Amino acid sequence: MNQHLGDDAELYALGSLESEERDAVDAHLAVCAECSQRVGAAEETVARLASVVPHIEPSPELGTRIRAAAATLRSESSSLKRFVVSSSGMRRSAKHVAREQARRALLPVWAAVAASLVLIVALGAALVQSGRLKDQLQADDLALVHVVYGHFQHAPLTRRIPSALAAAKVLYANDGSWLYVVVDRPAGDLHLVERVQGTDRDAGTLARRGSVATLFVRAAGRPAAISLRAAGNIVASAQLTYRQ
Amino acid sequence: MSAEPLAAAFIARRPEAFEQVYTRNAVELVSVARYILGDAAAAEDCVHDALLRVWRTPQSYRPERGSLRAFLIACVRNEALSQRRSVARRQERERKVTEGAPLEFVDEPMLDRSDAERVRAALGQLPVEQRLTIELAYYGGRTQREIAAQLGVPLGTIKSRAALALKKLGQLGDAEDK
Repeated sequence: MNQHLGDDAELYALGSLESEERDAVDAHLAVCAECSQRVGAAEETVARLASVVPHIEPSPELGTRIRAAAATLRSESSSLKRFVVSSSGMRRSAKHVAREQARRALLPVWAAVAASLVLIVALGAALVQSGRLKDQLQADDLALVHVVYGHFQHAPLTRRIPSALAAAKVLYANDGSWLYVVVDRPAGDLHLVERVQGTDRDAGTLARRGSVATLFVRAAGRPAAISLRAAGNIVASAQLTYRQ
Repeated sequence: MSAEPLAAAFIARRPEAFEQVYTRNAVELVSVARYILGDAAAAEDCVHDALLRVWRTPQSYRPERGSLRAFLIACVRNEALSQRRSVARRQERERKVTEGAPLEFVDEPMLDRSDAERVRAALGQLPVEQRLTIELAYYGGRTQREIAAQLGVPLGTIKSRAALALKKLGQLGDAEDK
């Protein structure tokens, strides 16, 4: 959706759009400040309507659950890495998986980063299967481990502005449920934009880790293409293909 | 922490910001969800899922959109409406709205009567067709197509009625805040 929302802004705020219509609006809001402001104003009014709703106190258990889950999500990567370090018995098989994945799929410059993800996830999945991890990871972590442990595809990104980065690659699930972008030596902050069904969607900012920047995205569909953007300019892009 | 720095800290995924956001908004969020779902346990699950989704992808909230509170209420409402639309228990509530029965506002100890009265008064100032559109959309949880079919008017008419009504309600609220 490239044109402005019009009256759909208010219907969106009221929750009166169908899910497909909502998805289209969400994609537009990611790139349009003007419509974001209009939706925001409508949401403020809708929030006022909530004052006539009878209020109830949430149970203490909800607070406990939600705080624990939020803390787990925030530290999911580091907690998985700790398992890699502490589980020497699993290290050999995980390294083997990483070596195999790297040999088949990845270029040397950033292979270590992508392989480390595979290693972490593969080890996590093995632990999950053995039951040792189930009590320690929340449902979202388990989902992440299982999803990423599945087969993935990969593609290099074509640089359009060579000075913006040294190299970049994307790993992605064939069902479009996730993708992982690795950029070697980015010159500055990079945004990932994914194109799904002809609509561009801002998927977030890559996080810098040493000389590389990465972003893991859970997606709801199969992106046909992705691009990395710096200050609004496309610095690299890739077309994504999928097995039938 | 005031609202804007708190929103910025939330986007940055600082744990203390999450704690404050939850503490400030939990009652309202759970209340909104329960009103739609009609069940306290389902409402808490709904708030749990919606809040964690935002926490996982904080970039989905942009400060220029407005307050984080309004955004979170919208997220919880949408989560609850999605669940409600997919289950059969919506039938009883729909029947009530379909028959044109007046909406029942239940007074409970936690309810802020002054706020509720202001909202009711503001709704009362809307033309009947606009008020009905808002009531069906917000309190009835209907989609725009369901409202159009129920009222027997074109979809575009519903869109413009909803937009006009919310703008008027916003102006009324702003005037009272001053």
